[in-house]
Amino acid sequence: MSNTKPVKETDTNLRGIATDKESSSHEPNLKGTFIAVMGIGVIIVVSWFGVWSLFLSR
Amino acid sequence: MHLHKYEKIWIAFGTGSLLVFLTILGIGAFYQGTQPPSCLVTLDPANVQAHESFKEENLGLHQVGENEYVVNVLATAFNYDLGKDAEGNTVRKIRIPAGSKVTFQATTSDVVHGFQLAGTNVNMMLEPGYISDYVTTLNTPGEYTLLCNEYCGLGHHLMMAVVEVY
Ligand SMILES: [Cu+2]
Repeated sequence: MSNTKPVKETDTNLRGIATDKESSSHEPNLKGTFIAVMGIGVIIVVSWFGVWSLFLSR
Repeated sequence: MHLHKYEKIWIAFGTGSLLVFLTILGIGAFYQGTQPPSCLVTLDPANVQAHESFKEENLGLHQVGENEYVVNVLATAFNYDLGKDAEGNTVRKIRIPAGSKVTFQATTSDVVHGFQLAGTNVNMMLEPGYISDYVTTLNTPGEYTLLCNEYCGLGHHLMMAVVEVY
């Protein structure tokens, strides 16, 4: 029990260092976030102009 | 600070939309004179008759110009007082020619009421002690329901009158 823990910790550290190196050279993939954010943005803009045109037409 | 390309796009989009919205609102408010329905004109809610516009004989529809009308309305739970006609009957319906410039002036002598002419831009809150007014041109002929959209008590749903544009 006493010697399994340090071995595991070293494992995680090694993996952690490896992923850090990876992410610093590659940009995160934000394609899904981009689509979601712009989708909400378009809904807000369309409804704003919809309400505004209703106000102007009455 | 490093920003992802997509982040730059949506920050620009959000900021741009905000600027467009505020510019349109600014033109409406400062150039075209759009203002809230109540500009802090006050009166004594316990004695609204003391105000010229809300004397019993001045309630309802009045022609003030060739194509100009004023409608004085006193809201109470649960009624819109539009005055009396020539025969002394309570007015439930007023008729206004299409294209006239109409000023609605209203107040309440008890609780907060709504003042919405459904299907038009006339939509105000009536607060005791304040006169709310809205100037509009009613162009589209039809029957419009004047209704209360602020819950004011048990008879709230009974509060209505009709404005006919012909
Ligand atoms: Cu009500």
